[in-house]
Amino acid sequence: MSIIEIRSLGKCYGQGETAVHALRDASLDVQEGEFVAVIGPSGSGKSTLLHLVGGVDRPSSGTVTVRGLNLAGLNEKKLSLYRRRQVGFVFQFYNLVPVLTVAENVTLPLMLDNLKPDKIWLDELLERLGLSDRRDSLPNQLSGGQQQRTAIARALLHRPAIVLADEPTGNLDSRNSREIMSLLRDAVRRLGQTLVVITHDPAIASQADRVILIEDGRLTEQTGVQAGG
Amino acid sequence: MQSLAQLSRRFLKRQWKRTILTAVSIVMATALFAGVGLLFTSLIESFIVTEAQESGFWHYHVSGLTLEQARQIQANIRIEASGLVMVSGRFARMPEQADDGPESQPRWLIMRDASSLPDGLTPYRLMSGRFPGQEGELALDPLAAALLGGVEPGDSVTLELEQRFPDTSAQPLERTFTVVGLFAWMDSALPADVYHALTVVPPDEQQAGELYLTVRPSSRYEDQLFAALSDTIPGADQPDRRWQSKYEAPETGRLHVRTHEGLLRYYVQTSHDATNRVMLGVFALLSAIIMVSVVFVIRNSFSMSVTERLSEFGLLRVVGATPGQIRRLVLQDAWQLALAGIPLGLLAGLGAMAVTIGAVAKVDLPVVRNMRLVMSPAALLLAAGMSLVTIFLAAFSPALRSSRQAPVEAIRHSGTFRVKSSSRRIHRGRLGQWLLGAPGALASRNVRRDRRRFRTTALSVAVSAILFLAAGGLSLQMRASLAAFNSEQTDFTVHAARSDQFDCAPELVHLHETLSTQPEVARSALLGRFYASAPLDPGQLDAGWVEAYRQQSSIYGRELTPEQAAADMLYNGLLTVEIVLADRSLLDELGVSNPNQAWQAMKNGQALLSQTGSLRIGPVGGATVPLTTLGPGDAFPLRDTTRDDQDGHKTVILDLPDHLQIASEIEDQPWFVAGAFSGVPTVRLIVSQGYASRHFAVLPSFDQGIAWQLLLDAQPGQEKALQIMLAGQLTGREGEALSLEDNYANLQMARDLVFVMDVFLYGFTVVIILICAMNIINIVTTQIVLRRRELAMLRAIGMSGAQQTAMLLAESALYGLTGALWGSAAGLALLAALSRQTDQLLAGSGLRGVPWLLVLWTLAGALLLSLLAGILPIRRVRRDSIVDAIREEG
Repeated sequence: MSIIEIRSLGKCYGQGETAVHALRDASLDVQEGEFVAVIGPSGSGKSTLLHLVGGVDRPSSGTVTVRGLNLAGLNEKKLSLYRRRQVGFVFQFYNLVPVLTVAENVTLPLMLDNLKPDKIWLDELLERLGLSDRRDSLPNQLSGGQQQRTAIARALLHRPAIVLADEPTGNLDSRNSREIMSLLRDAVRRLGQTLVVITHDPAIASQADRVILIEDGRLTEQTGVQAGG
Repeated sequence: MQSLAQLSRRFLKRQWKRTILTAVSIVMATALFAGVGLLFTSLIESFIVTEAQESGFWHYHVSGLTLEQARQIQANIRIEASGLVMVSGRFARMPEQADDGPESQPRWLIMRDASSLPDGLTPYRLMSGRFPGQEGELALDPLAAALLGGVEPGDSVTLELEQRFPDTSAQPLERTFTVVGLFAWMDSALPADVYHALTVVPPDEQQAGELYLTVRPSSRYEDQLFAALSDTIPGADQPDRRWQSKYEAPETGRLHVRTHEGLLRYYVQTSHDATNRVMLGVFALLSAIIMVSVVFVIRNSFSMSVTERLSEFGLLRVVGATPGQIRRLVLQDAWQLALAGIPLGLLAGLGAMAVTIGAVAKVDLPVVRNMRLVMSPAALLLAAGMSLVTIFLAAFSPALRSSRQAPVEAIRHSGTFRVKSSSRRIHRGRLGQWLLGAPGALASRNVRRDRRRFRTTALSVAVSAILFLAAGGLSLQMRASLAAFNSEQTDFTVHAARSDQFDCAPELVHLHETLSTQPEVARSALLGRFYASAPLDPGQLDAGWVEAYRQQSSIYGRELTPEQAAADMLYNGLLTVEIVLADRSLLDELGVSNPNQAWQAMKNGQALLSQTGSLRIGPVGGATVPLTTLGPGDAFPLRDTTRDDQDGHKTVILDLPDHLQIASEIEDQPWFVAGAFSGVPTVRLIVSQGYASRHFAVLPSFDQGIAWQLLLDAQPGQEKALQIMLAGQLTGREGEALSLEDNYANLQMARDLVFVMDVFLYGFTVVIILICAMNIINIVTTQIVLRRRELAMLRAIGMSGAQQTAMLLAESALYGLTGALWGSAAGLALLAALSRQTDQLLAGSGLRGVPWLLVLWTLAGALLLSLLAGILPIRRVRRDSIVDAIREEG
């Protein structure tokens, strides 16, 4: 069953002669629990695809449907709720809130919903990510790897249906990269979450169920089932 | 350096919004410096003009000179301007007076010729007529005119002129003069028995010279003068000679120098420069406040600019810039802003003061009557210098920080605010969480990311709050003081000369009858009053009053029992007893419940008692209490007033009954008596004037006399009409010895003075608040804009727009409220201190408790200001695309 249905998706920045087509007529189905890697050269439209699926940007044409919900039909408030409850984001630059501790950064999406975190799950998550002894540390007291693990915990704690990761290892050394990806993959498998990862790293791509190549804003299926058309 | 300047200009251009905000702060600060300086110089100038109008524009008056000496001194290079008054060697002997004894010294009329004295230098003010223009004409001081039988311009007077110096045996000669004018000599300091006349003295009688002169400006005017004198009179500048010349009583034929203290104190040339010291103190205080406020603002601005450019500085360091060059780059920004801001600020200050002084000068007040804007280059230069110092003080520490940044760190810097690693203690923000949920908690942490910046911003709000509270509190205090005096004073009081009669002067009765029926008059009272002694027992003093006195004594370290306190109060004469002579009509004005019955009792010798007093207890607080335990039906004891004769006998000069039976008591103080705030606690016994004239006795030697007064309150809005009516009634009746006390005019003047003070107090405060507002806008804008990526991330993980707005507004509000709370606490302390200082000045107006309304205004104002400061950047961030902001790499 497809959790994400992308149909004829297009995104154009600017107008007239200066218009840049970041994404052209892209269509894709992602199954529930699937691990999809998106690869492509810089500026090919990888992040744009992720942003459109994550509801942080709106398409110029086409639709993104997540669990039957057409994102184009949602107002700003509903989009916020969608991001807060259905999506977990992992960014290349971690993007943690500097004034919050590790534990608070992780529980932030729940705090925004005035919900209390599941303590057992939080402890387990921090334990699995090796952050138990750093839960009261501020981001600037952490290493790059620890910061990214915190970002992953934040993306997983509220058990979103989809985890979107934009070059999550782009800022890390190879040992940390392997560790982070292993944690991410294991976690989503355990929870049956769908994982979409943008990466330049062939090693990461090779772990995915499917690899999608984007060139000049067009999608090409690399491995496994055929991309939707 | 050229490239640094270019780089700086480009950066300022790129950050044009902050550049404008910072420049506006500099312009306002410079305008304030200039404004305060110009106000100071304009006020001094107006005092000088007023003083010159009163007593002439001269620095020194040198008398005891020969004409030759005087002319030589006039020609001295050190003397700027001078005028010669020639003194006749012949003085006129004034007629003897009835109370002169056989050994009384003769009184002399000194004849001076001031016809060659330039107008600007003359100390003589014409009161009527004109100054003499030829021999035989005479102008007199009013005392001399009175002593010569009340002569007026146009009258002739024959004087016996005696040769006084050189002392020869020349025979006195009689000469008849025509009186052409009366003049006042404002600066007269001669013995009381000497009188003054101006005339044109014939050349052969001109014996001595007096000079009114100004010296050329130097650091010490007095040195200039004595140097000029010693050129003509060798040794005049020797210390002992100078001392004698300056301080010995004037004596004809002896050098005497008098300093124009009233004028020279404004040039800081006398020891009596209290005015200048106070004004300089105020100037220094205001300048310090401006400097502190502005340093906060501009420092914040530069600090943010440096934060934003850290990676740029890092790059410059990498390519070879030295720390000194980086430092100079930031200082270059300061220099560029100063170059643009200071001239504009000086112009703005000039313009603002021209408008303000123009408006204030229209108010008819002696203190500002001669106020004109003085374009003092010194004040403007000083303002420019202080602005420059302020700007560089503000820019110095950010410049230092920029140069200390390691190149690698700077390049890595992401451009967002970071929590300093030293701040390990994590502020939980529970209150924010409780109020607004997650946005509230985030807001309270965000504002504390950089504690120093938080403190600086809150302090700049605090400075505004302190100034607003202090200015507002002082203004309220002045108004309360006015209201207090207003409520306890009638608009107008017509006084008759003090008499020894229990019957009122018929002219005052007539005036009362005429005015009491006029529609402009709200209420009137005709009464006589005098003080009496009462042999009260300590036990007859009211316990509440005694307790108040005990508390007051305790504050000053005296612990008394109630009995001791009561005895102490009587011993110190704390209780004053006043007898008020009334007629039947006064009872109606008093609002006595049964006036006919009361009047009947009063006709039989009984009295109405009024004995409530408002007492001050300690520095703040007060109470309204009765003064004695006596009431209706009791006998109020009285004592005769006596005077000790030379032979040791006592003569009764005021014969009163042993006691007065109290018919009834008036709860409130009668409207026509002053003293609720300004007077001493007074018991008033209101008695029938007819009964008093039959049963009380007073001798002419009762020197206190009986004060007969007509007290008038106008209908609201009719004060001016009644003022004109009274002037009409009293014109030409000076001979009847009626005098008008125009409290309405006095109050009007006081109100105008408060208005003028308000203009300056609030004007200054508003500009400081505007400068601080710039700071808040600057801080809030930068805090928000620099966190664009972080804010976008929050949106990306699900923070709604409303939550984000709530968080950012809460951050703004926290700055405002924290600063306002600090400021309110400090402002109230300052106000209490100021209030204590001005308490003596503004009697009855001491700060009573906390001005809560003003504090609420302060808090509300600070909150509104900070919320407004947040609106623009919040709108900007709300318009931001999440994707664009996340993509930014700082």
